[in-house]
Amino acid sequence: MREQFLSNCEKNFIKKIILEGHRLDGRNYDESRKLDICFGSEYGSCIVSIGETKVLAQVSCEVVQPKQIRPNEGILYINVEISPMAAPQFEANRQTDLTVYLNRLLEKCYKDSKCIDLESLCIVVEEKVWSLRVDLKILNHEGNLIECSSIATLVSLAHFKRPDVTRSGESVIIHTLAENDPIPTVLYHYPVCLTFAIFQNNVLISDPSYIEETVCTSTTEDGNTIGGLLVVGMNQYKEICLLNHTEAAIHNSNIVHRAIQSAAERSKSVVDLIKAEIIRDDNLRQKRTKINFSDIITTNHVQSLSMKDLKICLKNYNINDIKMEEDNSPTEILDDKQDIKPEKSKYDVVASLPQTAEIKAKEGASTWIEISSESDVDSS
Amino acid sequence: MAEIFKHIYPSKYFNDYISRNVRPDGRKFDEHRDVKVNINAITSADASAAVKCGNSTVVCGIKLELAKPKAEEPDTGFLISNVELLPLCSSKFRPGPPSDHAQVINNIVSDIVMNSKCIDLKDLCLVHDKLAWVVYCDLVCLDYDGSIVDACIVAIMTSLKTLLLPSVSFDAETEEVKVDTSARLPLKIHGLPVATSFGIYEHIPRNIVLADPSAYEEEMCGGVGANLIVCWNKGLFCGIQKFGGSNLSTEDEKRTLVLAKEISKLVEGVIETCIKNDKVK
Amino acid sequence: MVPERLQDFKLKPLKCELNFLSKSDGSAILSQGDTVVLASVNGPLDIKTTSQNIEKATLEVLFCSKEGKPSVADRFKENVIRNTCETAILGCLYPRTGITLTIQELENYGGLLTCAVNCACLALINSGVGMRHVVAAVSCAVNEVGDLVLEPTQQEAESARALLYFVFDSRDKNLVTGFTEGTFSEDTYEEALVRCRLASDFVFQFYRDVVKKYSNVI
Repeated sequence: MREQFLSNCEKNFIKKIILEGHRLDGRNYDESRKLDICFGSEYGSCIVSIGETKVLAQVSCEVVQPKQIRPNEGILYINVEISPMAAPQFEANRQTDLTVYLNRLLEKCYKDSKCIDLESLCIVVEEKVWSLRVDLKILNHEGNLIECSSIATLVSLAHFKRPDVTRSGESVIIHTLAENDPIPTVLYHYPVCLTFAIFQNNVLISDPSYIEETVCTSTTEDGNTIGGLLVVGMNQYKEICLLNHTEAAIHNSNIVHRAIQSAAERSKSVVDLIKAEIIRDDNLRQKRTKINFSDIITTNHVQSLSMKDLKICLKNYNINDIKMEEDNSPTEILDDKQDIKPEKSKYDVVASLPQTAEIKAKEGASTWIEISSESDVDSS
Repeated sequence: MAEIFKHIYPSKYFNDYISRNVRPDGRKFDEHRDVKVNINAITSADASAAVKCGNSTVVCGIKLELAKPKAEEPDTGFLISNVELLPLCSSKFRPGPPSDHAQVINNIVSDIVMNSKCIDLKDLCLVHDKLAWVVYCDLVCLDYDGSIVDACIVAIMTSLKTLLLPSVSFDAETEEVKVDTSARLPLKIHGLPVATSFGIYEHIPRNIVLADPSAYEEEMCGGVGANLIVCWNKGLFCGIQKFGGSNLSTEDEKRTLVLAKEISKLVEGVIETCIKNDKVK
Repeated sequence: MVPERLQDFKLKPLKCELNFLSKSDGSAILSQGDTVVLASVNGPLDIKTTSQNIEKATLEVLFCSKEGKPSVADRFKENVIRNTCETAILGCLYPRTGITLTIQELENYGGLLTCAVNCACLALINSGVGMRHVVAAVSCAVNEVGDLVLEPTQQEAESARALLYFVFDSRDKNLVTGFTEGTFSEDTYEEALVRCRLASDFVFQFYRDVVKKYSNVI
């Protein structure tokens, strides 16, 4: 299926509310969606979700011959796959620009920043080294894939443990996980890619959702791009590992500075969370608790579209709530009969013009959030 | 006139035949096509067989190679089969990398050969952790007219039965390998698996089971390839696979299994006679 | 005599959540014991003209394993799932469209394919695509002694003499799909078929429970 284009009306609306200080899901400019990490039963497998964006990562390893130019270094390979599961517009087994872009960004962030001690992956120089392969599968694309997949890569690499190896003469024995305790990967630092959407060169939004990303990279009616996406790769020591900017040029140097400052705070908190989660998982494993992806199956959440962390909400879809309503309904009816207090009518019948009458909604009856338009601002 | 009718109303055309208890090529529902087997047609291969089931034609060539066994399984050799469906055999196939259908057929064929345990891969190992045979079975379809798995299994089994392994001497110290092609020994084969395909056509009042369906019949039954493949080996099943097509009731299934047994015995006979015939000459 | 013995068998515990993904038209995550599979359905949607079918919807199935490159075994699984789901879907209602079914393996501790078929069926129910019937997959192993084990664990499956997989429809419990590994006798086959057919009732009951729970939002 072809990608659905946004209508001008939608684009203008999103642009307008953002410039006025609102976001569609009620967040502040510098607020990110909820980050959630959950681990699978194997070492190096995890699902990371930012809001509804979900990415599955799995690290696998095998013994290979090293590259000739680097005979004492292991190999790290990152592979991103976007299947139609992520969103209907993606086709199966087809490499898109997005896949290539994501892959390259992650390679820059994790391979070129030298965060992994590749030399520790060497078994026999020029003969045998470990090759680590990170497989990333995009499960749900609700915006900010870069941040989500970068966290997934980092978590899976930090969580992964490879089998122990002993050398006896020429032969190399690979021990199973039951025989010898597996060895964790050495990470010098923890870089994370953080995404910011820039609107009209002055508004900076962290963790853009799908619609915000699309609006920000689309063009307006007069042919200009509304804004751009800025990716900042930063580790916990506030060192920049990667900077990437797409779409409209930035002519406000202040904004990049603000982005980096904001990234410094967020990267620290993300890395702390990752470390805490990995320690927690390790403790659980030592107590021989069974850890499995089946833990993410919850039973109290019925609709994925009712975002759990959404601030603006009309009704919270909770299965227990629905049951409660059903259970209480007969008693409620009885109560109602005893003291019937008819709800006040929201409408007034008004005689307006001569020979006409109208039904008008009372003031304050509607619960819509009114976004003040420019004219109101002027008059006030 | 019938040709035009077939093109305008393909399903009505087929349905008309089925309601008169006959198939468009004149066969009865449980009747299968003639099978022809020829061996050693390819002289450059180590063993070969050409099989014709009706119009479906498959050629199998076996090539031998020596290799080091896998580190995880130091006592086993390799048997690698590859089915090719070239544009030559049917207009359905396009040139390029193997289609999904070819990969599925390949998977079914290699599964049947492995599941029937007719070849012990340990027999293919010559020296522990050092030397083993790699048997490459290349199956090429020349004409695709349905029930291709049956033809492939007959071709691969006949070739394997006629395969003679050269004797190999291995020097443990110098690791030198000597191959003597003049003294050859046959490979041990346990049993002879034979696959039988069926198509299941949705028909009122009951679904019809068609033995050995042609490509046209397979298409009418829905799904890609045959719907039901039953494989017998020495009085035991080594694979019953049903994919797509209409659903199969219990009574029909029982009858089909019995029919498959009869057909497999006949096909076994053809293969044995063919090999005996060659030896006499 | 057979059915009486069957009263006390148990399937692996099933756990399911529908609507797991927000971007797909229908999605389900299902765990059968320790095996977990995620499935998503999109459709009926516009597809390129070369793969359109004027009589029915084109079903595209993609099976993604957890790690490594796509293999021939994945193509085989896709074929099994596509053939099974094609009989279940009322494709003639949506001519010239495409329905894509994507299946992602999350954990594999035996019985991956049965879990994938059941999960695909739940995702199809969730997506609201018209269906003739639902399908339930049940697997069965023949152990070294020759006894039948329903829904084998990974260890049981590895040591088994044969493995049999069956998929039944919900209307007449007819066999929709079946495939086997290893060798077995005719009697074993018959008995396994009878047992699995009875066991499929548990899966259908589970589907009903799930639909009952989600009936407010499906």
